Amino acid sequence: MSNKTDHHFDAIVIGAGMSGGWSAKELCENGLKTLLLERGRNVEHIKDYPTTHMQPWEFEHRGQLSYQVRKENPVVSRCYAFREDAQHFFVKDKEHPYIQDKPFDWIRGYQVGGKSIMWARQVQRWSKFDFEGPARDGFAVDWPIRYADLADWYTRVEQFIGVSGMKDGLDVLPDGDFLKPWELNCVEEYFQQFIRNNYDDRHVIYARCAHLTEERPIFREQGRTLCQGRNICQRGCPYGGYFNANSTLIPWALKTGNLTLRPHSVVHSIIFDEETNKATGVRVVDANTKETTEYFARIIFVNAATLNTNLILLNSTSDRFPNGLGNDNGLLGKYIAFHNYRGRISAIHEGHKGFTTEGGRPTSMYFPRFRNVYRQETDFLRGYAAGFGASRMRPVSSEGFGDLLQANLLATGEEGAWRVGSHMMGETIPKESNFVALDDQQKDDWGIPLLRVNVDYDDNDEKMLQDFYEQFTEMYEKAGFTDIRTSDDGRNPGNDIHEMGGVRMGKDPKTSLLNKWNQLHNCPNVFVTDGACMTSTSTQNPSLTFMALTARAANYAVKQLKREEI
Amino acid sequence: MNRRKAIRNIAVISSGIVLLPACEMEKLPVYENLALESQQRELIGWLTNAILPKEGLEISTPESTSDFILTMLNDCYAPEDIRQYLAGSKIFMQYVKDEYGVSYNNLNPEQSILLFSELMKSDLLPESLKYFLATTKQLTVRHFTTSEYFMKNHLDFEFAPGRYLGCVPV
Repeated sequence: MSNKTDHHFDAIVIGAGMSGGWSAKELCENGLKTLLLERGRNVEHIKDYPTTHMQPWEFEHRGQLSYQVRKENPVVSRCYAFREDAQHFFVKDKEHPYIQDKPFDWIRGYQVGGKSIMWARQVQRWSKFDFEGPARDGFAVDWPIRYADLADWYTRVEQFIGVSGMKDGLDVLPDGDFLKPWELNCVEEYFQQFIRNNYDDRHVIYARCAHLTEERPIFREQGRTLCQGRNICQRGCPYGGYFNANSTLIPWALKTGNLTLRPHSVVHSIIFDEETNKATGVRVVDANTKETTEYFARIIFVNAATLNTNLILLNSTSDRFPNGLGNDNGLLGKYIAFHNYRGRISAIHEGHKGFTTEGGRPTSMYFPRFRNVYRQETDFLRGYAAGFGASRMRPVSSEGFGDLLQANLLATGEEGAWRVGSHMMGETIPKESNFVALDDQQKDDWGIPLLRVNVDYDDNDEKMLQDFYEQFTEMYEKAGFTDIRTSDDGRNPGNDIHEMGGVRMGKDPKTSLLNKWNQLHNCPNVFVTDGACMTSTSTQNPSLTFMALTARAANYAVKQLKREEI
Repeated sequence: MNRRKAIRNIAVISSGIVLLPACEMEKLPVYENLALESQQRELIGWLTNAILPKEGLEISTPESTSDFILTMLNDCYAPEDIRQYLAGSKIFMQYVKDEYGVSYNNLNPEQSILLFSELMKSDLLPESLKYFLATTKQLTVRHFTTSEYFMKNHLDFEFAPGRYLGCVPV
């Protein structure tokens, strides 16, 4: 153990969620005394999952939220996972206000584990086409890294968290180190074969997910066992069957003896020392007592989740950095982007009437992006990935009253039609006009300025939505699906829960905030590896990429620290 | 947690006197958002059973259907919807008296079914009456279809299936 007072560490990590948990794990494994700060409460694996063993009928409202909760919290009430069983893991609008200069659903999880408790566990690697996107298509700035820089780090992450998948051999979606997949059902296989036979430019594959389907020594060491297909992951899992920071990263980091976890710690700002030209620590406002304390470290990892990371950096002002830490070029908070999730399609499959499924599975199928992959082909830039699923319905007839109603209900069990559906996950183009900024008047309960959010859809998003309808209607029609319906759910940006950017990576300090190692160009002992660092969004579910970037940057930071370069 | 019981218990204790709880108190949890009279409570109890009789079915649920309906109304419905529901319940009681000349609980099952169907089809009766009937039915059905009995026997529900078979014969 090195000689440190209890306020001095080798490293500070801000945020104990998906990426912050990784920062802490890597830094602690490398022997760094690490302070992990989390603004919310601790959530210990298993111990603090209050609803994980509850049957559906044991919920007082059978899953529905109270009127009061919905009325007081309209934003989070629009989140699909904010229901009676997991509402305790979501931030309430009422308690954490922000300013929507344009409509934006900011969905947050302020506790140890963050949103890794409630996430959908879908994971895909970026490909070279994704990293090359901005340079080829002339938007944002060129990424300072390529897929080759991240490939081994993706493997490292996959091996540690456990990812169930199939090797598909696609250049547009690189394979990873996978555990075995669950079965596809007969309609999914039918549709997959249909796509193979009729299209050579697109594929529908098993949707890779962060669930354990095989035992491996590493998972035993973590104390995790196989997923049971309960599909209530958002409550936290007593088996550790899916990956979250609480089950996998925090205990691992604690085991090294190098981690100090401090919940209820709201980071106000990063302290910058003008004489040494380095960040030296952070100012923390205790969430409960509101007292301010300072902690010091040689390196700081900012993993507060995209918009909070932007907020902290914008609020970290000094004579050297009057506009926020590292913000010489004025771009901090700008070029925020997200995923366009508005498009849906559903239909009926008349066939396979003699077959159904048994049991449960926490994933289904996935279309990697197929538009504009090898060249620009459409009237919009980039493209969309999509989900695909098929399931056999059990229609419940509640016609009539009395004995007739009883008979109708008790007749349930006859299998209904197969229902199929897809939802769109579209890349959005980062632009300067989508930004966040600090309000110059209003502050929250911890004396921190409220965040103003200015993010909107654009014409590219609308054109892409139309293309999704056309392409999927055509595929569904050709596949023989009937009763095809498309819809635009009209959700606000942010409801995708994939907001990214504001502290983008790039080669040139004039047009970016971070270098290729996720260091602030102008303050190299500060690293940003959560969604804020993303120069573009591509179509993939981003958490796997955040974790890979984090693992890579953390190991680089350790090397630099040991060489006394930072 | 049964907070209604807790509220009732606190009321008894804080009075400082050892009271034998009246039968009334045993049966009547407090719903702070429902201005509920005892005859409305009785009506809802009668109605839910008339809508969906459960005789002959071995179904146990954490709460009675009536309690579920009142809990859902109290906790999950907007004040204006609660008002409409309660207004509809009063109109219902009066309507039966006017049309049938008896109190609703003197209707036989055939009469009840005919009455319900007629009410749902009518364009002339007050909206709140339809709302009262439709909402009671909706919540009655939900209570039934989320019961352990129904979910396991009719929806093939397994809490921890531990397997997924993608293509099994029906």
